[in-house]
Amino acid sequence: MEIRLMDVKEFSKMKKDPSWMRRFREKAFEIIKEKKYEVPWDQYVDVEKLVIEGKNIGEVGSLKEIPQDVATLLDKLGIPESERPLLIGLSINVDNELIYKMVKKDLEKRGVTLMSTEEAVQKYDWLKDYFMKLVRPNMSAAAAYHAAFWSGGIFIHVPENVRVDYPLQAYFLIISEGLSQTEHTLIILENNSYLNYIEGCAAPVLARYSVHLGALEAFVKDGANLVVKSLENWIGNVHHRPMKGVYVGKNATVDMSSITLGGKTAVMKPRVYLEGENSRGVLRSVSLVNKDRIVISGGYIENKMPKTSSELLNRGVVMDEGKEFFKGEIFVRKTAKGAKGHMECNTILIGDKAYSEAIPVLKTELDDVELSHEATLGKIGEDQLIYLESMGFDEEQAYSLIVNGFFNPIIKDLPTDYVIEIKKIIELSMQGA
Amino acid sequence: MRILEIKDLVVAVGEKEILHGVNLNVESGKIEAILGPNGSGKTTLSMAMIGHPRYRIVSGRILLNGEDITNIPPYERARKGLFLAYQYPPEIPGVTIKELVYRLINRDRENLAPIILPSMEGMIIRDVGEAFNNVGLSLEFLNRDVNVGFSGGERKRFEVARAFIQKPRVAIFDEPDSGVDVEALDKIAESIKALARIGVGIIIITHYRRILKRIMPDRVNIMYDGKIIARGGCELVRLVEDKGFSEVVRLYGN
Repeated sequence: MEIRLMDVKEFSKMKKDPSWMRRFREKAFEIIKEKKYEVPWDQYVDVEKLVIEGKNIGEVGSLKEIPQDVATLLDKLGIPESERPLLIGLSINVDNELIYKMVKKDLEKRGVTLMSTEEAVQKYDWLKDYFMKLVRPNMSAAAAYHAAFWSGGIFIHVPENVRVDYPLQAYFLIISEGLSQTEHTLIILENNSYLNYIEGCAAPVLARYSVHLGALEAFVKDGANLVVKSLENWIGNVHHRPMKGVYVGKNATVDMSSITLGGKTAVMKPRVYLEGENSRGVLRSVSLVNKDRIVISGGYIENKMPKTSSELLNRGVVMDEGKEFFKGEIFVRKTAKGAKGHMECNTILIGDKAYSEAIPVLKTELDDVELSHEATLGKIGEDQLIYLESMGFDEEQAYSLIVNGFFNPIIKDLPTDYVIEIKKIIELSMQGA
Repeated sequence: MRILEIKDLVVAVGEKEILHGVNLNVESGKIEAILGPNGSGKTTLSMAMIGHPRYRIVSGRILLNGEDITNIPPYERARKGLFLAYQYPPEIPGVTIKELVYRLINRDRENLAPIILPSMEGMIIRDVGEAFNNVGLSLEFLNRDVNVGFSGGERKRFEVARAFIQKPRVAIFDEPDSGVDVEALDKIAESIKALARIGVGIIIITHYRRILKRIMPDRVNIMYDGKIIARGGCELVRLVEDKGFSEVVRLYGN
């Protein structure tokens, strides 16, 4: 089903959308038509050649029923079969459908909801006040495309005063070639609640490229606290274009990390809106950019209210013929008296062909704010290398250790299996560095 | 038993020749001291021995246990039993001492666990506990990042602890006494003597005399302007102490 032939009405019917969603998709489709010919919206991705309908597995009732190729991919993300029963909440999205979801009884009893976004939209009319209010269809052609043809994804709702301490985990897998994955994840944290959410992306080796055009929107209401970690490990031919937007209310906090290890190209521009007084937003990203991959990392944080605080922290290791571009922006509005913002960008270059560029932007409409920026760009120190080599570590082992150390501040709080997988990937990349 | 031989070693940094033909033999279990003023080439000698690429060996040879190691990479020298305790060990942020020593102990094993699980900690402590105890470091030290925020004494203690962990045949200590207090100095001196007792050949490089009072080396070598100009017993230390390097140079130079 190619999009140029796709009738958005037909698609909406297939998705059993309520009428508000059908209208929403149709409006977005108008925007696509308007925007499409302005610029080729992505030099690597030709949306018209992509299909939305992927593999049709259907929902499975237990992990045992998951097809073998999907199970193999889950292992690559670092979630061994033996530990799966210990999870408190899990969802698996394959191509453009949610095939499995589970949440522990105890959480259900406390009112935590985890369901497919499609089902949630059918069930709850009030979601129209949330859906794509942060990632808006008119923001870009990609966002409009997502709005018209989103499919799959999960909806998480945490009621007031409920804490979900152990991570809820979500997996997004692409197994079809030439696919655009358009899952929509919607997270709503009511006042004073807490959620730790981890998502992992993976794909097998694909002959024809697929594109990840998924979106994540999160509403972190007053006093609530959201921790998100996204591990992207598209093994090969995937262009990664996630869209993320977060609302942060009074005294609330969001702390979002992206770990980017694979994919042909990745463009990540999460947006955080600090809408409540004394709220805090932290965006972290670490990337390992090897081979001929291109990664654009960074993000945007807007300090709208007094005493809000924003941090944008970026770490990259760029090697082989990889290229990394960091584009970060912190914007302090004139209503944000006493706001603080800090940006940090640290890059290690390995080899002579690796390239890195950082464009930090600090903007303010107020005089009296604390804004700072730090950046380092360098090669791995000769002194560090020789120190390790003179202990008997060969060059690969020495590089591996140093790069692991560089990533450690951001990956160390992840579940053990994730850390193991990340370290294995780093080690593998250092071979022949 | 002769464990290390340095023969007519000429070393240059860039185009500049720093060492002009150094000869030194180290016996198993014996302690050689190299004493010399700043800029005499002591650190160049240690860097050339471990194979730092910036220190180019122009001519001469280094034999470890009879085997020529002049042109092999640093990690192979280390694996054959050469060790250096650094004067200024660099920081490695994000890498804990625990991780480093775990990898050191298991350096030659394939398929190491990528991370240290709590169940492995007992084994690590068993392997390094004595080394840490010898130099007076507590086990909490395992959780610190390598050399990050260490005091001068902590750096030196950890460097010496590494010698017990790596179990070399020859250990070079580059200024093990600079920037440490008396208590640390005692521990370091005791540790170096203990290493000699178990048969490690030792080279201590220093321009202070205070550690040599505690260690009493088997032989003292005076280095000056890229050469060893005098060789003898502890009387040379006293000579330097009483009259200064200039007098030694006047007596033995050329």
